[in-house]
Amino acid sequence: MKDVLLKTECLSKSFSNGGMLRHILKNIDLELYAGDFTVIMGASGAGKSTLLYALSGMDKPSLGRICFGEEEISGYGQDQLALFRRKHCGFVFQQIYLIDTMSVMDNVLAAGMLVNRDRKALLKKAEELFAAVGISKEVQKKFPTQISGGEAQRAGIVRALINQPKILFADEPTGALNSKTGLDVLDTLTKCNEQGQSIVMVTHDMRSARRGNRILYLKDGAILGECALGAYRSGDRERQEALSGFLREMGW
Amino acid sequence: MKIRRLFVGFLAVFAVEVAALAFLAAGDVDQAQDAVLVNEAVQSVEADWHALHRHKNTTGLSYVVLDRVGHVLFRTGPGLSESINAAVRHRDTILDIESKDAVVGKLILYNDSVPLYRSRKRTAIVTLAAAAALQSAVCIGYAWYLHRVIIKPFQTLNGFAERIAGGNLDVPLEMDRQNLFGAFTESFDIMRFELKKARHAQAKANAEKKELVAKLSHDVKTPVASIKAASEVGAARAKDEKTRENYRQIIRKADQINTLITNLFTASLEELQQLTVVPEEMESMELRSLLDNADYLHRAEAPEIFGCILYADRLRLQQVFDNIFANAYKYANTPLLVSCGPCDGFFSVCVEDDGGGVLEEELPLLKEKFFRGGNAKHAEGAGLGLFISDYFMQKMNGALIVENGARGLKVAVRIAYASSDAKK
Repeated sequence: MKDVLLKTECLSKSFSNGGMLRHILKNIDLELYAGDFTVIMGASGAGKSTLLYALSGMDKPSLGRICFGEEEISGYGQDQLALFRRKHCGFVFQQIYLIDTMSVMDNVLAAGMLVNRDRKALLKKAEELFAAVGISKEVQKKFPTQISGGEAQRAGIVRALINQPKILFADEPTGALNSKTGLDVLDTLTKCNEQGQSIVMVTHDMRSARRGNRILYLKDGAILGECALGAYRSGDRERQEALSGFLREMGW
Repeated sequence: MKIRRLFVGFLAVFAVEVAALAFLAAGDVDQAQDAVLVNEAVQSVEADWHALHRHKNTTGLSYVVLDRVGHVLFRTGPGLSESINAAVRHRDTILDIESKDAVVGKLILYNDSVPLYRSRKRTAIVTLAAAAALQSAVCIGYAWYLHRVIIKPFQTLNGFAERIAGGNLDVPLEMDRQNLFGAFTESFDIMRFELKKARHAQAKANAEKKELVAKLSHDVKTPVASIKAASEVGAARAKDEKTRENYRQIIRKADQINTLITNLFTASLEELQQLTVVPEEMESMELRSLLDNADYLHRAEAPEIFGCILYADRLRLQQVFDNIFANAYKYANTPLLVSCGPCDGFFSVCVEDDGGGVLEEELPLLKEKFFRGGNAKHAEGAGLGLFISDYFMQKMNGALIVENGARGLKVAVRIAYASSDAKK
């Protein structure tokens, strides 16, 4: 029995557009488990990113509850949410948002300093993470404009993991990368997950979705279905067919 | 009349404000110095020059007397300029004191226009602030008056018109007949009443028509059955094939007439199909206003509603609640208990009265068309309300459950969640 990390009850999110209320998420009851690599899929406009932002406390839901363990975060104010995100969540976006005027290492340390003031310990942790994602010492010293997209995204992952978050949220992390560098980033995420990191990733890319062990399919703001795939193994045809069959069933 | 008085009142208030400001602006302060008094002060100081300690200020002016080197020899009070330099800065008047044709000292006459100017400034600010406060108060008061007299009645009227448009004629328009819309709304309510009467008459005529059809169908079916029976006997006894075929033809036609009569009777039951139900997504919080509208006698306390997205037609749902509350008022006439919550995959709104409920054998029939319970005979009604409500709920993918609760009749309106198909 896996531990429930995040739980939602009747989670709904609405936006007002020209006086018309649009319900983007509708009554979502969901449990996210520790150690899972959960992938949220769906067509454009299905509400994938909105769900990710609501789950991660980046945005407040219009209705319903979100509980992180015993904490109900849906009732938090903006300041409390900021502290919650800083302490428990890591984020990887399609756009990497590294600060151009700081070296790659400093980008990571700056994020770490928000939680931990022990620079030595941070440095050690950062070096471990950089080694784990395959970024050399030379690259760590470079500035974001001097490194490749794949390296930058892996640096983004290190930055997201520096505070040892309970969940890593990734919104289309390979969306802006080419095939080869995208694969490196996916390998990095898979490796993190194998070491116990819980990951929630939004994607509409089948190759990325394959990395998850639990696939949720979102349609019109509601979860249409889900599929348990088990741990990722490279070249596992059966697993690949199960995913394709599930997505076909969902009308992908 | 009231508005004219109000308008005149506003004009009066503004006129008073403008007059006060004009008075303030027009009032000019006499800043000229009284030369005679000044001359008298100088003369008296010159006269007392050799015994200034005995000098008495008889002019009422404020001044300081200095000797030629600048020592203060006399002052009328504290806070005055006591050197030439200070006097220049303060724009005071400096006059020479002469004795035996020689200048022996200076008299510094205090310039008192600064405090005067400050006092004028303070008065102006206070007057302007008071005028602004008065104007704001008048505007807020007027806005409140407009809201109470025009906007609020309009909102009530709007809800009422929506219900009438939706075909719900049971809820009366509760309006204050003293206000601006009094007579207007009364006419509206009379219109509703007349429409309701007309609809009742129509329903009654329909029911009578149906009774007639039922009676006729029964009357027609009996001779048709006789014709069929006789033809069957005739067919059995017929000696030649042609006669037998004729009898069979009669039997087939008799069956056809029977089917037509049955169709004629059931066709009138299909008229409900004409009521359109257009469900869409709505927030559960909107139920509060629907329940408030339906409970116009305020017999129930507002329930706690948890937030979620529902799938329903607001207008028809209002009609369902209106019907349930109207029934409770009509048959039980007790306080009501309203509760909300999830139930069997639906969002359920339960309305329970305190009237002891209905007979168990009547429960399954309550939603039937034209059925009226044993305790309903004394009240007006057509026996259609729950039937139509049930039909509406089914069209919204929901349900209407009628059962006996602990205290009385309990009607549960089960509303579908948005995208519940997807959830299932």
